[in-house]
Amino acid sequence: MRLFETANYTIIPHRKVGYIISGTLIILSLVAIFGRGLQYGIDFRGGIEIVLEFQEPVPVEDIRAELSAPLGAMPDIRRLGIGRDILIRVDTELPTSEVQQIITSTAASLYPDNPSRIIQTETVGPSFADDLRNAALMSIIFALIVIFLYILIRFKKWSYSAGAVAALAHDVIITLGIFTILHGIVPFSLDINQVLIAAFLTIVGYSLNDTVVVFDRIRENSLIFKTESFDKMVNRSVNNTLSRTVITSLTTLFVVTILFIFGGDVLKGLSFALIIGVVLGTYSSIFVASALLVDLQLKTRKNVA
Amino acid sequence: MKGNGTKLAFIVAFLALTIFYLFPSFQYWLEMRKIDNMPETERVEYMRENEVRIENMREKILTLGLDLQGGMHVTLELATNQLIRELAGEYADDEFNEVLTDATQQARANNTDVINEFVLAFEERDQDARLSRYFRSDADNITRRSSNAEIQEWLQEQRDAAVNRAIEIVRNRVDRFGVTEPSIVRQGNNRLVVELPGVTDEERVRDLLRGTARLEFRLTADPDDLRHSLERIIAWFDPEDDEDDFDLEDEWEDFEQDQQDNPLLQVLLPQGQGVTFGSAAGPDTAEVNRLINQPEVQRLLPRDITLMWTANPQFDMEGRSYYSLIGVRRQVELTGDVVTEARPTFDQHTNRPEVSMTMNRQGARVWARVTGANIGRPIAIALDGVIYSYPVVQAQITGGRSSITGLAGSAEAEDLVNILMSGALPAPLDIVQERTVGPSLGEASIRAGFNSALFGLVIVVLFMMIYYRTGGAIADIALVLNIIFIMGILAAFNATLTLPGIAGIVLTIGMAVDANVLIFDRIREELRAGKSLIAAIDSGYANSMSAILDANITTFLTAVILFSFGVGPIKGFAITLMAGIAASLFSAIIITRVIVDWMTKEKKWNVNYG
Repeated sequence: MRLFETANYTIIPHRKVGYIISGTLIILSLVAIFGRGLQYGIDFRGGIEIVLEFQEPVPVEDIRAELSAPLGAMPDIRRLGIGRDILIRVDTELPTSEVQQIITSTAASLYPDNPSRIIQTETVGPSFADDLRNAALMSIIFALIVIFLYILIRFKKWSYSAGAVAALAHDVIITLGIFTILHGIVPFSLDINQVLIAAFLTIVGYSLNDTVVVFDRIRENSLIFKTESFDKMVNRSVNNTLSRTVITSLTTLFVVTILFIFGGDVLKGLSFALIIGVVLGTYSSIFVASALLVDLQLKTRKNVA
Repeated sequence: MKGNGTKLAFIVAFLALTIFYLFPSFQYWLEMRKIDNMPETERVEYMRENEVRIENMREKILTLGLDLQGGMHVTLELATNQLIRELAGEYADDEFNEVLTDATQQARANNTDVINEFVLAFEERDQDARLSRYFRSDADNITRRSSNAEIQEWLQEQRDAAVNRAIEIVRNRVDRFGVTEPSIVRQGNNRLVVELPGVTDEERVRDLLRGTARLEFRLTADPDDLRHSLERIIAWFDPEDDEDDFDLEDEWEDFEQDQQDNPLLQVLLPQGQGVTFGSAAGPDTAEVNRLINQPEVQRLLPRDITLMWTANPQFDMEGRSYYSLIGVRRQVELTGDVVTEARPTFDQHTNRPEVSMTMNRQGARVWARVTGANIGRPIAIALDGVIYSYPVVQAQITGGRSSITGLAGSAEAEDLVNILMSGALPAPLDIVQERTVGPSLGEASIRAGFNSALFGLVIVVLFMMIYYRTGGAIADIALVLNIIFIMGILAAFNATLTLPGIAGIVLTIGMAVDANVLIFDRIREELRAGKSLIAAIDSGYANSMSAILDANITTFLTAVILFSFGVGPIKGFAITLMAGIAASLFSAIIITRVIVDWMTKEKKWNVNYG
């Protein structure tokens, strides 16, 4: 079986289309991120989070109403999966043990015939949450800087670095945007938390993988087809690697989709981010990284000439 | 087959190493299955006989993270400001306390170090301020002449030592508590991370970790003084300013009315009997503290008196729990340093659990004097700022014996002994983060992760065989070996397998074939260009090498960054990614090459790349 073997699509000349699509997605994402705000998980905003498991599914509204008085604050309550597991999050000064006790006794009196128990508890102090958030932000920025430098050393031109890092930032911003928009709408947790930062850095790694393969081919072809114009040569390289790009994306997409479906509730957010990331990473290696590389190169050449 | 001999040797060596590291895990798994199938009585017997052997085995196996086996993960922070105050001791004055409070808030707001903020705040206040006014240490040569920089450095050293000491003490307590394989590591300059697999008794662990073991014996307030203060404080909170005083007995009839208007009475039930100031329901204690701790209110208390809560609640008729606020002297008569031995016992009359203590000679002398002078009056026994009991002294106690009563149960008695005997913490530890995962959730996660990995593997294997035919089958062999290698690497580095780690392995299954996809596509290209199979394979491997290396090195770099910034489960994810990249490079480049060369050059077979 062979796909895209003798691919010869006119992709790079149509890069403006890609810019429009990416630009729109980035603007929408930024509007969502700054409008709605990033939906942080417990480890980035502090508080107490408890997962309560019932024997039978329960409606969350009753529990929310019943809990707000004793907890002294309106808890944020969500259903996980089919509704047997309830996630309760509350910002309170009460000690964790007190909150646990309030929740178990409220649940017991509200549903005497539907036994429940706490299966997970997480408490994060506010200053510790700040530390975690800063560390996460630093890790992403640091990763982008290191990648910029590595590509600069390997490809010797800053336009390659700029194209690659722009593509990565593109992927991270749009993934964040999608998470912010869909948060609370889909029946699984899309909180921005530490696990998600791991997913982001993996997306960065994956997207970069794709980009570097294309760039490598560009470098190779630029030695073979010296007389060809730069944009044509990039188009040729993208076509050369298209088969590999698609196949690797497919195999990765298979496994992350399986992880999303069968990996359990805890990994839903992570695998969802990876699905988005694989699709975006594949797209951006061609339409952002390679396209920008062409424009940046053409521009610098003009300046030199 | 030039060069392949070395490659083959490498593969064999690597496989042997992997088996060596994975064998204990496999053995352990077999052992556990055997134990699970035994009848209950035989199992207990077997476990006891083989305890040491199983324990040794456990040290070498691939450990599961807390998110997979259940347990508690706690991050503790040493209260540096308390340590500074402690170090200053009697030299601390009002100015010192003020600056320290400001510096603590500043450090919290800006996420900076309390010690630096403290020194900075002092110098900002007065350029010539000398910190040597407050600190002395003969051992470390900290004198009146020490410069501020020297003192800053000394404080940091002291903090360092305090954190290390705290780790020792926490380890001691955890060991006595009886947790298998606890992990206690330092994080940053003032935090420690404690991981306790299998522990779900959260409240006990919290008390165990936090307890500074500051045992204090204090005299109690004069009942009449305390009662008078209570009345004045209630009046102070009364919104109608028409009366200066509040008479508890006179106004008992109007109590309900007053309760509605008076913010203090809404949360505190006044007592004014004996040494009890009042009582409050558990959730209300924080609000009572806030109200009472206002400076204007504190001024209404007798100068030498402070209020402390009881450690364990009493229950009313409806089963609601109440804590009492007790008036005690600010001065501490005797502290826990004098305790030489503590053990859990039971009260002879009531059969309630208690902790009996023996003091050293100096402590016994003070104790005899204090009890002798206060016969008929209660003495409060407080641990870490809460009062366990305040028995009335019946007679002078000589011989330095005492006991802590008023405990919730024998477990608490055991934990108290544990805390008292493992030594006092240099400064309190605050829990800044904690996560508890129940064992059932972990089991479900393992099953889900395992199923995903298996299912993902099957799909990718089939896909590769269909798309690349023989080449794909070779890549599949490499993929399966790759997964075994990853496990081996994780076991060798004693890494912990976490849930995100399993996700990392599943992801690696998808991405590991990438190198082979690159190579095979290149071989197809070379074949199309008219090269012979052997030549095409040679140049296919050679020409795709730079892309493979660049792509994997950059991914590896992001994994390294993830490892250095992440904590807990994220570190596990980063480790599996790194292991995955290393293993997949090895298997995709070297193993497939050896197999392909053997097929084409030795056996002269035709390898079909689809």
